[in-house]
Amino acid sequence: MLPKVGRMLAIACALSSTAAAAPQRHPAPAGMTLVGPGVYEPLYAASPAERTVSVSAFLLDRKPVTNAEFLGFVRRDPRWRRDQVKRLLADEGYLKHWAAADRLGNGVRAASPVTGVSWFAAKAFCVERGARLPTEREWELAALASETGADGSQDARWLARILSFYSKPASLPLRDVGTARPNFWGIHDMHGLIWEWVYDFGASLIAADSREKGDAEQNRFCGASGADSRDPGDYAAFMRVAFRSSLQASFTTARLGFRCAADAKVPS
Amino acid sequence: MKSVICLAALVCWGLIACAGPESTNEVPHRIHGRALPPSTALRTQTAPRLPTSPAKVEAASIYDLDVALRDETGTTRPLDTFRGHPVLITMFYGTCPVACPILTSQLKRLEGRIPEPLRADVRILMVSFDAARDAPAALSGIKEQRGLDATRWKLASASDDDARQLAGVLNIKYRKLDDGAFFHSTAIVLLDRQGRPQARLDGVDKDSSAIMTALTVPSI
Repeated sequence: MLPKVGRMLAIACALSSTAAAAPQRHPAPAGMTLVGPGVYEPLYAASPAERTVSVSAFLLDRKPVTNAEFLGFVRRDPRWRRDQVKRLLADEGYLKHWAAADRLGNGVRAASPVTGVSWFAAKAFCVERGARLPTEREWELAALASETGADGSQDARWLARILSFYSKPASLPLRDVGTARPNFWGIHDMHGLIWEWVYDFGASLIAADSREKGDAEQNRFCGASGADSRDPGDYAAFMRVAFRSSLQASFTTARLGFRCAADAKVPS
Repeated sequence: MKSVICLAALVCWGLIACAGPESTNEVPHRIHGRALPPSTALRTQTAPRLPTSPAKVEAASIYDLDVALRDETGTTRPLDTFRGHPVLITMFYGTCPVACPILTSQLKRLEGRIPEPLRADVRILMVSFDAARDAPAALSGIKEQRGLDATRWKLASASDDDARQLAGVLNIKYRKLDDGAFFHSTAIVLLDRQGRPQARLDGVDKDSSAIMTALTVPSI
C-alpha cells in the first residue's frame, strides 16, 4: 500500500502521462506507409454506382507480417497459440507448419511471411498493434500500383508479370518478405508471394454471383456487355476475388497471410 | 443472335432497375466455369454435423465469440443470451426493403412449423449489422410491425466490428454500400442449446427441411 501522498502522486503522474499521450493516440504504426487516396474500379461492380469507388488515403504495412512477428504476438497473447486457440476462430491447419506452439523450428524462416493464420487471428494481431486489416478496396488500390505508377492497370507488361506470379505457385518455404522491389507506394510483395486476408473478404461477389439458378449467368452477361465489369483481361484480380470468396473466417492455408492497415487521419 | 442480345439486354436492364439493397444472393463458393487458384481454402461448405454421429468432432460453439448485442429495449446482452435454448440466428439490416422482410417471414413460417412443446423452447435471434440505423427504437418498431412474439424473438444490433466477427462464424458475407445500404448474403443458422451450429439455410425462400430435421433430433 502506498502512502497517501505517494498514491496522489501516482495518480497525478498517470493523469499527466495520459494527457501527454493524448495528441498522438494513433501514431502511424511502425512499418506502415501512406497509400492513396485513389480511385479503384472493382472487378465486379455490384451496381452502376459502384463502377468506380474512391478510397481515402490510409496506412498500410510495407511488408506482410512475418513468422517472427507473429511468434512474438502468440507469446504475448497465448490465446492465439495453436494449442490454445478456440477452434471457432482457427481451423486445424492454424500455424501447423511451426515446430511447436511457441517455436518456429529450423524449417521455418523467421523473415518469411506468416501463413496458416485465420482471419480472426490476423485481425487480433493487427488490433494488438493498434491497427486493423485493410479493406478489400484498400488492398486492391495498393495492389493496383506498378513499380513506377499508382495505376498499373494499363501497363501490359506489368499485368503480364503479375499474371506470371499467379500462374506458378510460390515454392515452399516462402522467401523472406521485402526482398522484391516495392511498388509505387513503397509497398512490397503485393503480388508474387502469398494471398492476403482483407477485413471484408468475400463480400465483393455477393451481388454479382449467386447460386440462384439463372441469376449468375444474367449478371455475367451484364458484365460482358460492359455494364458492370472492369477489364475482363485482369485475370489476376479475378483470381483474387474468387479466392477471397472461397474463404471462411476460420480457414487457414499454407499460402494465406496478411498485413495490417490503419486510418491515415491522426486526431489532433 | 441479335434477339438473344436484346433479350439479355432487357434482362440486364431489369436487373439494374431492381439492383439494390434487396439483393438476396447467397455466398458464392465457385465461379462458373473458371479455374480457381489451387488452394486448400477452396472447399465447399461442409454439411452440418448432426448430433446423431458421436464419432465426429462437434462444431465449435459460436458463444465462444466475445461480442456484445444491443437489443430492441436498449439492453446490452452477450451473444449467448439464449444459451440453453435451440436458437435460430440470422443477420439482417432493418431498412432493407425486400430480402430482410422475406427473411423475417421465412423465420415466422419456420417457427410456425415447429411442433409444440419444442416451439415454446426455440428462440429466434436477428442481429443487425447496421448498428447506426438499427437503434433500439427501430428494432422495436420492426418487432411490433411484424407481430413477433416478444418472449421468443429478439432483435439486436452489434457494433461494426462485432457484427463482422459474428458474420465470420456464421459465414454470412456483407458489404456496406456508399448509400448506406448493404449487399449481404442471407442465412439462417440453427444453434443447439450450447450454441453449436447444427444446420443452416442459405438464401431466402429455400427448402428448410435440413433445419426442421435437425430440430427434431432429441439432443438439440
